[in-house]
Order: sequence, then C-alpha cells, then structure tokens
Amino acid sequence: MTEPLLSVRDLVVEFPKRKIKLTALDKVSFDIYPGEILGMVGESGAGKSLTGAAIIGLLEPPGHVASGEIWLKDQRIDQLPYEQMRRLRGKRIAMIFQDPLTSLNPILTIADQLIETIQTHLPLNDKDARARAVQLLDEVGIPAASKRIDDYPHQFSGGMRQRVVIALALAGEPELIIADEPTTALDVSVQAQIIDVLKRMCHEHKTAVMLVTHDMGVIAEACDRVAVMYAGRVAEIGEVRQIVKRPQHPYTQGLMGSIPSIVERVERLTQIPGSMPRLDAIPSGCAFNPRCTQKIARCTQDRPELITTDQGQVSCWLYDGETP
Amino acid sequence: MTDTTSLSAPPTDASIWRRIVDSDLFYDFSRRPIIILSALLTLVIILAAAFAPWIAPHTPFDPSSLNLMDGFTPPMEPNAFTGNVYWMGTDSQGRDIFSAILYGARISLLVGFAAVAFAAILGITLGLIAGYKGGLVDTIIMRIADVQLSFPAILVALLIFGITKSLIPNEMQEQAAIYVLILSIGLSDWVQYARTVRSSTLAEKNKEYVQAARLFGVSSFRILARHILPNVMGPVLVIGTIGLALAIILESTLSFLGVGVPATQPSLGTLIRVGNEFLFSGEWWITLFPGITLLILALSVNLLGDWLRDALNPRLR
Amino acid sequence: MNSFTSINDKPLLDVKNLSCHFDVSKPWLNRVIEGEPQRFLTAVDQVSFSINRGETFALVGESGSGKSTIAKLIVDLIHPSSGEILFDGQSLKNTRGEAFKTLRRRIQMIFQDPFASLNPRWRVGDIIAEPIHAFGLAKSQNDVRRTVEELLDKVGLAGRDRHKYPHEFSGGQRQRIAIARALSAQPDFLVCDEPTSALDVSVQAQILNLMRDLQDEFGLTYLFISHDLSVVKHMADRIGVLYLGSMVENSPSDQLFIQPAHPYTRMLLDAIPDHEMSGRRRKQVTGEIPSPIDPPSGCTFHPRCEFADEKCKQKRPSIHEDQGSLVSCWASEEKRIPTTPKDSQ
Repeated sequence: MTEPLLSVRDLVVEFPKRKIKLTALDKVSFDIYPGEILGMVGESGAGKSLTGAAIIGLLEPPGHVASGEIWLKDQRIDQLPYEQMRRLRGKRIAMIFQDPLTSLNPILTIADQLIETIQTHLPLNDKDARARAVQLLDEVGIPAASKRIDDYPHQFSGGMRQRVVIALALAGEPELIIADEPTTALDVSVQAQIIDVLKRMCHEHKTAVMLVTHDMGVIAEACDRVAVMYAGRVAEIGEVRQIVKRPQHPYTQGLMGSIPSIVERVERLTQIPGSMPRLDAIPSGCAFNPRCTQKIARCTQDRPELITTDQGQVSCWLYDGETP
Repeated sequence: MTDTTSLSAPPTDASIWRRIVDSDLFYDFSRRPIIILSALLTLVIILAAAFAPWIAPHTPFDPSSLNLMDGFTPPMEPNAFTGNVYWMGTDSQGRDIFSAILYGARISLLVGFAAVAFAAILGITLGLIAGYKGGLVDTIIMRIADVQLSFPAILVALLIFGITKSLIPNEMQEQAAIYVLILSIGLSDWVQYARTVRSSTLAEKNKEYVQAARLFGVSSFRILARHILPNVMGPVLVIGTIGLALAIILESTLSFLGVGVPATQPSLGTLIRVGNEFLFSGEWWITLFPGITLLILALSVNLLGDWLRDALNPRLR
Repeated sequence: MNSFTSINDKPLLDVKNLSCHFDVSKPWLNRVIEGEPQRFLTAVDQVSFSINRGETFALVGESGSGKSTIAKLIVDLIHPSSGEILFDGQSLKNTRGEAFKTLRRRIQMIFQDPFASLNPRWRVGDIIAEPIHAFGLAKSQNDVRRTVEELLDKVGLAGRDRHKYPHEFSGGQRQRIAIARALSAQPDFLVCDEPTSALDVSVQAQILNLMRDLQDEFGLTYLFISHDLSVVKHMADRIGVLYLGSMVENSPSDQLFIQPAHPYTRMLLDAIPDHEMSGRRRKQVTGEIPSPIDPPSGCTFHPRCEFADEKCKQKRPSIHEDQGSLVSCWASEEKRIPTTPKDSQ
C-alpha cells in the first residue's frame, strides 16, 4: 500500500466562546493518497469546510487546532509558523472556493494573476510563464486561450471563471487541492462540465483532491473515496461505490435514502427525524443517537471510534466485533 | 392537540433583564472599562440634571435668593464678605456655579434629546418613504437631503433659527426660543437618519418577508410600520447616540454665539459664554466648570455611540 | 398563436401568453449623452400553461430561465407586460374589492430562503397569524391562537413554539413555519419557489414529505419551481421546462424523464449527476446559457443544439403536440431528432 499524501489524525478544532468551548471538529481522522479524489460530504454545520480550512491553516479566529496532527507526507503542518505555512499554500496545497468571483481579483487580467502565481512557485521567466499560463487555460477548456488570457474576470461567464480558478490552483503544481463546494454556485449544466474538468486535470497532473460538498451527486460523479461527516465527526469512510450502494452507518443510510431518485419514483422519501444538533448541544455517546432508528444501549454512553470493516471504516457500535 | 391548547405553556423566554445580561452586546460592554465609565458619567449627568431642583444647593435663577455680595467667590474659598463657601465658586451675580451647571445641563440635555427625537422622526419617516416608494418621491427627498448636506450643520441651523425667529412676534420670542432651537437643530440633522434608513429600507423591502406581507394584502403603511421599521432601527440607534452628542455641542455653540437660549434660562453653552467674559480678569471658574461638564457629557455620549456602532456591526466582530 | 392548453377543460390556473420585460437601461441622462437606446430584458416570453385542481405542476430551468419571475407574476407581486393569468376563471387584473381579496387569499406562496422570509423581529405566533388578521379569518383572539397552534401541529412543530422567535429554529423548522403561515390564509393554490434549495438533503426530504401530506389533506394545488430535476420528478405530475424565458417543453412527469422531446430537456437530464451510480447513459454537456438581455435569434437554444439548422436560427419555433407533450422545437416538429429509447432505466 502506498504512503498517504495527507494524514489527519484525531484533529480537534475548538471555538472558545464566552462561557463554553465549542468543539467544531472532534477527533477527525482520515488519509488522502496521492492522485485520488476524496469526497467530504455532510450537511451544513457538519464540519466539512472547517476540515479543509484547518488543513490549509486558514481557520478563522478564535477557532484553532486544539489537538491532533496533520501530516503532509513526512512533514507535520498543523504547527507551522505563519510564514512557512504561507509558502506551503499554493505550492504544495492549493484551494478552490465556492464563488469564483471572490477568488479572482477583478482589477487584474487573468494573465496577470496566472503569471504571478506561476512565478511565485516556479522559476520561470515572463515568456515561459505566459506560455505555461496559456497552456493551463487551454487544458481547462477555455476556448482561444491565448487571446482570452488578457481579459478581465468579469468578461468570463460563471463556468469559465471557475475553470480559470482551477487553472490558478494548478499553476503551482501542488500535490493536493482542497476544493470547497466548487460547483455549488453554478447551474446544473455547467456543474457537470466543471466536475469533468476537475477530474481530468487532477488525473493528468497526478494531483490529489479533497472535494468538499453537500451534493451526493457531485461525490458520486467525481470521487474515489468518500468521508461522511456528522456533527464534527467522521461517520464513515469508504470507496464511493460502497457508500452509495451499501452505506453502513445509519446516518449515511438515511442520507442516501432522502435524496429523490431520478430513476425510480417513490411515494415517500426516507426521512431522518429531527435535525443535526447544534455544536453546544451534542449528545453524549454517538452524536447521531437521538435520530438513529437502530440505536442500542451503548450508543448513548460510549462514543464509537472508527471501526475498520471489510467495506471501509465506520464509527458505529453496530459494527463492533465484526472481523475486519 | 385541540384539547391541550388551553394548557399550553406560558411564554418560555426568560425575563428581559436576564436576556440583556446574556446578550453579546452586554458581554462586550462588560469588558470595556472606558465604555462603562462613559455610560456611568452620562447616567450621572442625566440624573443630576433631571433631579436638579432637589440636588442643587441653590436656585440660581431666582433673583430673590441671590446675594450680589456673594459675586465672584472662587471655588472652595469662603467669600470675603459673607463667608459662604461654594464648591465651584459663583459668578458676577453671586450665582452658585454648581447649581447653574445642573440647571444648564438640564436645558442642554432637553434640547439635545428633543432635537434628536425630532430629527430622527423626520429622517426615519422620509427615509422609509423614499426607500419604499422609490422613483420620483425618492429622487426629490434625497436631492433635498444632498443639497442640505453640502452646507455645514451650523449654517443650516443658524439659517433656520433666523428665519423662524423673524416669524415669531416679539413678545413670544423668549418662551419660544427653546422650541425654535430644537426645531433648527433637528432640521439640520435629519439627513443622516433619512439616508441610513433609506438604504436599509431598500435592502429590507426586497426580502421575502415583506413580499409575503404584500401577498396578504397588508397596506404599505402597515408594512413600513410593522415590518420594515423594526428592522431598520439598529443603525438609527447608533446615529441617534452620536447625534445626541452633536446636538448638545451644536446647541452650546449656538448659545455661545448668543443665538440660542436666552440668558434667563442658560444652558451649558450660555454659561460658557457668560463666563468667557471674565476669563481674562482671573475668574476662570465661571467658564471652566461648565466647559468641563460639556466636554465630559459630549465625549461620553460620543464614545458610547462609537462603541454601539462597532458592537452592532457584524463585520467588525 | 398556438398555446399550451390542458386536456382538462376547467383548470384551476390558466396562464396565457404571459410575457414580462424589465427595463435594464442606463439612467435617462446617460442614455442621451452616450446615445444608447433603451434596453429591455425579456424575463418571460409568451409562456402558456394550465394547472388542474389537485395537481402539482413544476417549472424547471437554470438561472435566467424566468421561473421565479413567473412565480411572482402569478401571485401578483409584479405585473405582466402582456398576457393573462386566470385563476378559477377570474383574472386578478380585472377583479376589485372583496373578490380581489378572496383571490389573493386563495393564492399563497412559499419562498426559497427561510431565513429571509420570516420577519426576525416577530414571534412565530404573530407571523403565522398575520394572514388570519389580514383576511379577517378569525372571530376572536382565542380563535386566532387555536388556529395558529393547530397549524404548528400540522407542520410538525409544537403549539408552544408560537412564543419563540425565528432565530431559535433551524432552516427546516423555519420552512415549516413559512408553510404554516401560507396555510393560515386557507389557500387552495400554493406557489412554491425553490422551497427546499436552501436546505440540506435530509431536511429537504422532511419538507417534501410534509408538502405531499398537506396536499392530500387540504386538497392543495401546487406550482412547484425548482432547478433540481430529481426533486421535480419526485413532486410533479406535469413539468414545464424553461429556457431563457420561453417554455420549451411541457410534458407529463413520467414521460419527460423517459422520452424527453426537446433537445434542451435531454441536455438537462444528461447534466444531472448520477448519485445512485446506476450507470445511466449520458452525453457530455457543452456550452453555457447566453445573456437574457441579448438572446440568440430564432430558437434561443440553437447555438447549443446539435440538431439546429438554418430555420432554427431564424424562426422562433411554434408549439406542437407530440404524444401528450407540448414541444416548442423545429427539429422535433420536423422529426429530425432520432428517438433514442433510454435503455438504461
């Protein structure tokens, strides 16, 4: 088995409030292997975006990593000083945000921004950097790239802008891209195209991706493996096919059943009763236990760790004692 | 369900006091000593002014109680003729400065609050109408506001003061002076409220809860009063607090210039002006103590307003 | 002009040749100085459809398709540039007084954003009671309170929740409150503008199930607007597909997914991610939606359509009927589109 590119171990992120400490991420552990696309799926407030922010060192104060470790290959990156972390960003880990307009500077041309990013990370002169920029734009599917490179962001449509953002993220030839809801702001017909570009580019450049999204469709289209988050914890990790077809955790089962099917029509959707707990009211034991239809006595007392089964890892007592 | 409705629980929310103490605003407040000090000073001055007749050792504007022999007594020193001791001394007429300040602060605060209330009501109303109706009404109101804003407030106030006074018969001038002052300060300051409320209204009126109310056939007046107004009041509170400090200063300036309240009902500004005449002959206390009071009052209210603006602005948190 | 008409002769809602233009010109002075003409955005372009009592009709489309504008036109939040909306045979435009008030009451709306659709300064009980007061539907305060509590119970909340403020509720619970408010007007027609697109999927399932239950219980008719085809498939009896303000196809729900008639509908279906990993056969989607201010000539879809020819570029397609579907496409009318049965089902 290959060494993981990124390794997150027992990551705890806390937000100190006036009287209490909110634990936004609670012992999150997962690995990302070179060249793979790992999906992070969960509902709003599950902590999926926060995980990405913690990895790249962009947690909003007063949020901070309280314990746990983040390893990028054999370098520990959760305690790096600001300056070193800044150099790591873009070069080894790049980020793609939901809204392409906010990640592009409106008063600079695409060429300015791309060439600057390339030259920050690679030792290229202006001419070579420009050639590289055109090549990148061409690869992400921007027609007439050599002409359009001198345009400003507002001259591009939403989908084209997100392609530019992908090109920008790839400019430093990073080992890992964290993509936070990259298609959420786009129309369905454009969304499909962007997923394709992201998949193809990362495959060609051998870049690993952590794809954060709430959309199970995007996960199924793009990812190799999936981590399902619930209330700041990892509920389940596994191959995408296993998660979609044979989810193990009762939460994942409910989640999959609640998505209306395009193939067959059902009278009623499966619904998980209640809603995800607020961070200041996470129940003891398994965080999902008040909504779980299969809970046993133990679920309200002990918190389940990730248990390795033949289908992946799941944090649920129902699978305790199964031989891996 | 229908049977249990009569048993439904009483309001579940805690008492108002509890909610204030629990709020983020109070928490922020409790961690800023300067703001607490400002609030205390403001409160003390307001209370002292309100209860002036009970607190003041003398009634400074009752000629029968004044003794000219007491004139020009320095602070904390016995008067050479009468042996009376005054904290802050006396003026040329033998008036106790401390008492005069309490009564003067009363006038200053009254004019300040009334002017702010007048400006706020006028500005909010016009801002709501301009923002909600849009079109020509909006253009007319906001152009007037723009024109007025291009003149300094004091100039506008002086102008309105002059015009209004010329319209009032001579024998009523004395009594009407305070109302004229309130009117002119209020009219010079409504623009701020109108502009802020208008822009908030523009944002609120497109929100879906307003559209929902329109679907129920709720009248424009009711939508403005019951739906939009409560949601645009946050910024108004901030402008109002800062506006209070400005109004008090503007009143003092006008009174100092001699166009404000008459000398028979002196405000802090009038006291400063009167005292100013004696400043170079050595009777510094007559103008200094009212000046310090005005400074403390205006600064405290202003600091409170600034803090409120920052504390209520989510982007700065 | 041909129009989309229902087979049933007494629809509850009948929309005829509805158009809506917005003036997007620069201010008058700028136009005069720069010598620019006035510019209009055609948000809705001659759209016709009808909805039968008890039915759910869905409008799907991407951004700029005009679906939300149609919702606002139907509930009379904005006025059409031309065309007619008949509700139960009456037009909102020509009705006055009590009859107008009754029409208003019968048509209600559920909005997209449950965080913006409830006044944050009002208690939930007052929010739900607003239509009851506005339409005079209760005799006494006691009556109002009882109705509010019953409605809260119906949408899955507790009667005592009426004392709370909206911020004390989650997104899904707020949408339940918004539904209770709409129901308190005792409507028979509900316009639902993306009612679940701001919600998480598991909460979306709760709300969709609730809406189904309420439809059965109160005999409601829904106009359901969404960009999400899988949600639409779950909810709708008939579906209208919008592209740049025009309705390109109007088909029974089942048929639309098995045999989409318009090339744009096919493209939309191909674009839906296969979250079930069923191995649905799909074609690569290309292109983006053009600006509605300056739409393409003829059939607005022609630049992205693989079946487009000269006629499509020049002439706006008429509407023809094809096996229960109403389609606005030259290629479909002239049988130029090969029928590929969707064998992957």
